[in-house]
Amino acid sequence: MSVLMAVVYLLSIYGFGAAISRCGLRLSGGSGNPLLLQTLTLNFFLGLVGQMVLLNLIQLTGWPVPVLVIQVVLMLFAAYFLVWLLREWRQRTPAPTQSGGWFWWVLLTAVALQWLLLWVLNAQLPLVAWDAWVGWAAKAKLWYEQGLELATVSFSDWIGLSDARVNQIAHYPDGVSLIYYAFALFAGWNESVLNALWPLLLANFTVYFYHSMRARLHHPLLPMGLCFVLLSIPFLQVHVVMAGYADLWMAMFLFLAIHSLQTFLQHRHWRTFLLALVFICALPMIKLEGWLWLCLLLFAWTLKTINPVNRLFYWACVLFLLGLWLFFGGLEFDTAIGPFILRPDLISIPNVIEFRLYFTNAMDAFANSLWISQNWSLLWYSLLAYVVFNHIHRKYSEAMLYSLFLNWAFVFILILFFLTDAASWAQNYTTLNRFILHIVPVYLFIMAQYLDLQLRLPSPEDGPTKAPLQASTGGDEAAVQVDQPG
Amino acid sequence: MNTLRFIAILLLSLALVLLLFAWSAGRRVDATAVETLDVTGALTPVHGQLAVVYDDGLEFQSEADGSLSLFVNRKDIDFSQYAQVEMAIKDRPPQLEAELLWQDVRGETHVLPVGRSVSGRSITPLNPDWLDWTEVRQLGVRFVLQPQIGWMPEEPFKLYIRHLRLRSQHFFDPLRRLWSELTAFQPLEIQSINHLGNQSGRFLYSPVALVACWIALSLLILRVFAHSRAEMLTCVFIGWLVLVLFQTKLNLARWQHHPDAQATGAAAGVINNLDALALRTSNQVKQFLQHGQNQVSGAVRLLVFSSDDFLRTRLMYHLLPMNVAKFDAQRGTLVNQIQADQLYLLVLESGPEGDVCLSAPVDPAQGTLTRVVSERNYCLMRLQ
Repeated sequence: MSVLMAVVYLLSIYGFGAAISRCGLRLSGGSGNPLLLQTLTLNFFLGLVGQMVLLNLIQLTGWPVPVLVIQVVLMLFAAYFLVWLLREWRQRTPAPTQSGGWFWWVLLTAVALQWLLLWVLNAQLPLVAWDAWVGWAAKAKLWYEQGLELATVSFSDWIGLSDARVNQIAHYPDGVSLIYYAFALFAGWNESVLNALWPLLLANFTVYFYHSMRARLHHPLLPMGLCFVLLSIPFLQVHVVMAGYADLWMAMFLFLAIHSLQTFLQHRHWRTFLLALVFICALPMIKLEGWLWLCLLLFAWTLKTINPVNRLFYWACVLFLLGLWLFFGGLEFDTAIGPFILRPDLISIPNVIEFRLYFTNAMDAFANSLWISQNWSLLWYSLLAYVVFNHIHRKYSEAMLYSLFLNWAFVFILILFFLTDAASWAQNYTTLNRFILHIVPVYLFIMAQYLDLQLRLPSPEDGPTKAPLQASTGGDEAAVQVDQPG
Repeated sequence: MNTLRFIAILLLSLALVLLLFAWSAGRRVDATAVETLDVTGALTPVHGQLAVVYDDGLEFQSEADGSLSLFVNRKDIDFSQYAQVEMAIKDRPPQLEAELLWQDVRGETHVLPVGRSVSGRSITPLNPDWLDWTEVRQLGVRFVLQPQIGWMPEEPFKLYIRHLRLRSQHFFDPLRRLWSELTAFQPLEIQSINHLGNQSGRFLYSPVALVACWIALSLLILRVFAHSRAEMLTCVFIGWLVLVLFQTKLNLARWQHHPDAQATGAAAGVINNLDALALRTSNQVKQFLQHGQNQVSGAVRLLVFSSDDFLRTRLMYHLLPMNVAKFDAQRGTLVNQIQADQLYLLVLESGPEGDVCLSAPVDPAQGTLTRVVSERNYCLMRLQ
């Protein structure tokens, strides 16, 4: 019964997403995505965001919504999904024919087997992820037992409040915990069943990732090959098997946000803008780091929109302001939520971050995490290739947003772990790899684009008759449809 | 040509930056400083206890359990300046169990988290990657006597601690280490469950060797079979596929066999002893508090203490949704601010440590402690 109800809940996520995309299409007046499988996976992520927002609203407003009402509403969405699926199945468009040959099928089998292995291992484990039972799942367990309105607070606040409960990550957003809670309303507090959310998340993301690459890349083997690489990364596997960390969610939603934004910038459709907006807004709902990625994404977007002619002037302005900042010893002012300090020795944003700035040599931890330990397989050995490709294809407009974001993310990571207190988090191996995990899908996606471009470059044997590469002209018409909500 | 020029400029810039860093790092710490400390002590087993015959100026501390600790008392050494310590014990009889220790700046003693297993007659070398050296005040060794048949217990023996070799931190150290680790064959190391989400073990074989094999294999196949870019790509993915098949074998081994003693049995699909203890204790405490009450009152507040961080947080999780919080010495002074009627302190330890209640770090000046439940591993006290 528990498993059956769990399935009903999972269907409700898809149903919620389908309803949201239907509303989005009505608002923007467009047509849906003809590829059923990609629409399904996109609906899954939209449904997750929708449920987070709904439950967060119930929490914030303090409405005494009975559990039964939440269950019934979600069951209605599950029923809606079945109706939607039936209709879409009748109107589905056949998937594009694969031209990758026999090896495409080998890779597909390898991807499926990898996922199956992760799922089996995941099902064998109880809830062992430290972050889960210290934070995410602990919050959900409290709400599940005592109601969604129960407040979770830090220890110092708990001293004065008898009706609140302590949680070590009370200051973190509740997104993942709320999904845990909603799932538990159906499946009961069965940790092995609740853990199944992580393999499902990975399966949906892999399908979406594949179709996103398929729409952009010329070579048919690359998308499936890169999906296989993604699933074979040991650190990602750990986070699927040991369900309970929110970093995988962060990585996936970050990719969805950047990819949706790039699709909007490329095609300028309102529906793609709405989609991008949803995923960008979802970032801070998952982890505090979401705010950082949100700011970096907006920064990369701003940089992309600046005319290359003005870019030199822009950098001159940035350096000038930086010089002024250093010369006058930084900024410091009081706000309603606390002192706002941006000094060369201290960065403090109230309730978000507070870091002292000084150099620490965390090179050892970096080298160990990225290249020596088995965390990333051989992924980061491609970093030099990325730098070279990044330079060669710097004018390729379709990859510019991803590359600007990634380059600034790398800069930020270096600043964070070499110049602030956070160096200790790198040196004790508690944060560095998880932080890097967030940008891995974006990195793989851009590397796929660069590899595709390299493969499309005419070789000397091809002769002069081969059509030249049209790098920055955008994808074909099929690509326009693929990245849209269903 | 442009690409070649770009790569050349990039490499030159990298070299320049590294030289600048090396120069600045070299100015801060003497790159050649290596300290070697040879010390000699002798221990005698007397009636199952260890006694010091002569100590040669070293600090020995006798513990209540019969063990003996020795710390190298060199207050002039600033450990934060060093990256690596090698310590060797020579001529250690096999009957003498030994473990390497470090004392933090607060004076608390810990066992070094990473090191080679203690076997045979020496412990060497030691390179605890996971230690924050700014926290280290002293290094030391603890000996525990393990009498065996055929051993003459009254016979004194000599013991040397040699080569406390401190190597200074240098900017190029990590790069040198990176190269040596990449080219060396590594044993598969598996971290504790706390760190599995942060690190996922090490390569079984040298990554450089793997990459070299992969490239060689790919080139061979490319040379013989590949006639197009599609076939080249196929070869590259075949290489990755082989690598992953190899890794999958390791990954399966990782999840099925987890040798780390701390909280890792769960990774093999079985709730380990510590978790079972936490679960059992939480059930007993819940039952006790519910006894006489229809349900646990919301006013009941539980503070949980254990010297083991895993045990404490895991117990807290099992006790949910009760009103439970972590108790530690720093926050102890806050307890008397709680204006609740029912405030309890729950102490849980994993081993049979005698009276568990005595290990509670509570200042009696804060209030009265009344013992309400006392079992083998845990103790529940009322705070008033």
